[in-house]
Amino acid sequence: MGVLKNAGTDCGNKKPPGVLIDIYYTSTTELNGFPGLLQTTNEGDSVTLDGPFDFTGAAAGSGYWRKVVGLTDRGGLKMLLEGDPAGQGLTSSLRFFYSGSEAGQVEFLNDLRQFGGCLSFMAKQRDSDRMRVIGTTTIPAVVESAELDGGEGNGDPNGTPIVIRAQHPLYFYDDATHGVDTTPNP
Amino acid sequence: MKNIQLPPDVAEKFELVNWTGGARQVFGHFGTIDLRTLTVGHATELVQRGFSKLKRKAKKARKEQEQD
Repeated sequence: MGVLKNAGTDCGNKKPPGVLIDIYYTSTTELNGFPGLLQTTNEGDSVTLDGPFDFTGAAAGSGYWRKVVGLTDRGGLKMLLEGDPAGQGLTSSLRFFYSGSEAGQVEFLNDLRQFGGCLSFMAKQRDSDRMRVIGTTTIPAVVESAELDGGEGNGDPNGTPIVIRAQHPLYFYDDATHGVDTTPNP
Repeated sequence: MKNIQLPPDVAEKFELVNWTGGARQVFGHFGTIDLRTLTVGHATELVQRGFSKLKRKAKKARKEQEQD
């Protein structure tokens, strides 16, 4: 199995227009539990995580949030009510474009594939002050689709549109208070 | 276990409050905070802006620490 790493996106390569956002991801197997939901009754509390993520016990070199910079011109964070009325459920998704088609980008996609079903993502919607989390330890995120295209012809984008999905509502995370741990375990 | 320690000059004046996880973290609009390279100036600015994981030490505690 591969090792999840930070995935860079360097300027200097042609890029389609869009809003660059920082997306953080980790393997749920590195987490020591998962934050609960707030038990208070203010607006939004029932979908807001109540504390920081705990990576205690993760192996050396792991146990942290990796970062990838994505473009969200056509996509972003979405939530869909699915199913028949008797069995409806909410599915959250994150759509972004990952620029480039070099070895680093291929490796990133291969890592996502290997860790599919064990992933948790968080990203911030434009102008929002809190992270949205997709994928928990019990309902992990999966990569629904990813199609890398090197872009041979004029007008072809060079990169990969990626869709991440998990069958739960979007969960909110107060990153300004709890932080996003980007330090690997020693 | 991640080793969490403030630089000595910062630790003279500030203490951590409920810091969980590694030394380098991203805290929303407070930005990236790396405890290994945190300066007194940056710590002062963070506290002034209301960052809750860092607290200025009381003068009495600082004096006691200096005597030790």
